[in-house]
Amino acid sequence: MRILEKKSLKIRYLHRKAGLTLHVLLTLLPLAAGAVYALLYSVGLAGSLAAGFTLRYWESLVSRGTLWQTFAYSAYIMGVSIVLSYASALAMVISARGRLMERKGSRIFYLPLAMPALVLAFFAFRFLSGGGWLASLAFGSGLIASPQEFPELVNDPYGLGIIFVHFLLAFAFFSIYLDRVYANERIEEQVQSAQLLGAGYRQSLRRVVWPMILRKTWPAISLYGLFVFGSYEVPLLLGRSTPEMLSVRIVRMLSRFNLDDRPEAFAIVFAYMMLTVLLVFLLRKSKGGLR
Amino acid sequence: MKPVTGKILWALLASLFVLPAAYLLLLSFSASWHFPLLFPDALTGKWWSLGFTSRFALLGSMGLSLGIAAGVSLLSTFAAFFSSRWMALSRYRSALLLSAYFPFVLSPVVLAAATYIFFVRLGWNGTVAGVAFAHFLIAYPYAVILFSGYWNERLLTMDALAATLGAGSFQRYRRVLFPLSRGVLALALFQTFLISWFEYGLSSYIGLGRVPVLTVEVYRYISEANPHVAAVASLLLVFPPLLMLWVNKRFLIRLI
Amino acid sequence: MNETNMLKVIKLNKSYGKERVLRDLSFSLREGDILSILGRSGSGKTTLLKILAGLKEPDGGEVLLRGQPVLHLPPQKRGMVYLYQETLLFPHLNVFENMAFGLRVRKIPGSEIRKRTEQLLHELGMAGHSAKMPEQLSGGQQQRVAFGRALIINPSLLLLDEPFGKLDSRTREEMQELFLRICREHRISVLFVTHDLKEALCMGDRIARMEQGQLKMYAKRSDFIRDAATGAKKEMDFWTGIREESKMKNNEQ
Repeated sequence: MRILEKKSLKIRYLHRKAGLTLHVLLTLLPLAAGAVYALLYSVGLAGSLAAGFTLRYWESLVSRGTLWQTFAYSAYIMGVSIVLSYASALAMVISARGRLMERKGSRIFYLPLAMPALVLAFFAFRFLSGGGWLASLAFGSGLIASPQEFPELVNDPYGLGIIFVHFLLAFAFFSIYLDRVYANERIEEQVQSAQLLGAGYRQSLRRVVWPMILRKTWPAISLYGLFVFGSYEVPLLLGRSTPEMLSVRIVRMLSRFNLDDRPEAFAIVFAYMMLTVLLVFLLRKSKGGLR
Repeated sequence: MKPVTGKILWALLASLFVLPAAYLLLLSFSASWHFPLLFPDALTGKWWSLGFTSRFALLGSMGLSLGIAAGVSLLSTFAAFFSSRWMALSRYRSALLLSAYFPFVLSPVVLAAATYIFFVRLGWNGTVAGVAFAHFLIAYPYAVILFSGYWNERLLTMDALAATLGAGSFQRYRRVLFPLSRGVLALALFQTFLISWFEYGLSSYIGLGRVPVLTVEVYRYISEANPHVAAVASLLLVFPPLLMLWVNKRFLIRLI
Repeated sequence: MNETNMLKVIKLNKSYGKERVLRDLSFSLREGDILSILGRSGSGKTTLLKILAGLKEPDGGEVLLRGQPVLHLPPQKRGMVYLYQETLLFPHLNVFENMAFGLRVRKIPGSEIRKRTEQLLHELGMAGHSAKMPEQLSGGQQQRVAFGRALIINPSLLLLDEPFGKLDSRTREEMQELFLRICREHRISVLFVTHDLKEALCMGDRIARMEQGQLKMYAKRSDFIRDAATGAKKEMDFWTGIREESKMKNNEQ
């Protein structure tokens, strides 16, 4: 091939390469840069307190249990919210035989999706707190004599308020999503086939519906779970200082006057980023995982 | 399930979903509403009119948020449209798509915390440009993932066919790809708009609370114990997505 | 007939990993000729066409169109139209606009577009369907429009990749007849790829067979039939045997 021909081909090749390189820079570079900075800060090699390599911040986090506590609490909130919302949504979709969204007024399921988490958290605070609407109802019914007698539903140690908001959002999402999956995978026909082969209704639910739907939807469950795990606005308004969800803990530690908290905060940042990368890789490698 | 039980359940569900918006609407029009009142003692429009005055400047915040979200939406949608097409033609398609998942699943505020130093070095912290760029960093990967399922064999083949019929790159986009992709482009535009519009943590961290996007204002009035103006700001936040719900409910659900 | 070489392919090579799909492949095609290329699935026929169209890049070799090298040119500048088995009509354009597509991108004046498109629509028997959308057409009609869309821009070379593969046998025969008539009238040079023996024999002025990454050309049709590797003789013997068997059964009755 002659020189001019090679040059023309090369220009087209470079054009495509430039676009793909830009994509990698936009997706991986901020993450990589942030992770590297966080790691260096956490071992005393970057930042205003940098005094040389040290593992004391990591040791402090681990020995005090802060790292595990934060991750465990976030995992607990994630687990409870997702399990409750998924189970409820699945029950609804199965009882509707995958025709939930065909019902009159099914558009209401989209309403929670039209509200940002911050606004729902604000509503939940006004609704569930000791001086909130539910407490007013309890007072009016004679169940309580003062706001202090109302059970702690927000800023509580069990994260009930946080779970309530995430449940609301996830339930709406999973209802719409599972209904679509039920129809697309023709689950109803599969159930009928199973019944023709002698399976009872419960058996067909257990042996056909549940495995099929779970296999199809677990990447979505995992991804949604990761969103809840890293959520910020909801625990910011409805959580308490101990235990604290991951994102809130990180931001609070970085905003404190005690500068010693900053390297520890960046250690948590780094650990969380690595956990996310690992989970995404695992999701991808698994059967029926990310496309 | 018995029909009556089903109806009751449906009514409860509808109430649960409608309740937040209904409550906030009432709160925004109530003169005061404290424990133990079940309903406000009086209704007023003053919070709405005050909300738009220079003191609260919600209209300005809304305009700023609209501008940022519209810009982020346009840029991320079209950048992702082009890059996802190149990705579909690349033999590293799988790895390139994977690279989009990392920023997608990471908590935006943690990404902000980790990269904040770079925003400072660039002089973008506390600026509108910085906040907009930060929004772009989370909206773009989402749009790439959305488009990744769109570039199927048929569409790519049609593009190749148009090339052999003499259409250059620009013409193929103009006459074939954009017209065929109207639906998915609209979906991406709306959803990336919502990502930016709803974002609080990232906006607050990078903007240092100085960039008064609507979500930051909502939080400000909540923490200042001004629930009525917070309710007004919340309803302004909810207004565009509710409009989308009326136009096409599909635009609201984020595909994962 | 004009003896000029429209197309000359010189030692074309292409590998996918360790698999060598095209191996020093060389051949030429005269202006106005139709070359049928027969080959099994995976023999490299489609790869060859895509390289010629500019949709894939070869590992080595040269391609000359009317004596000029073309491998460095993007697809839109080669003057070679590649037609797939699927018609791939643009679903957002009606029949008229689909057919006129190539003219519109060349910024031909509107009046000329109208004239040429209507003329070709009439020639292809699609005159009354110009306002219809592709999904309103039958398979055969869609194939006519796809064909017309390629013809209207007077391509130097048409690359057809089993274009009638998805049609039923009757429609297929109609399309084959139409295709041959139009190609002869417009003197179009064609590379016609198929895995169907009968189609290969009917459609081409010359026949070639893809084998192990190379193209074996047959000077005469009889050479093709005599070559056992083509399977033509076996097929003919089979039908002859069926005919003899029926004759015997009829005589017995």
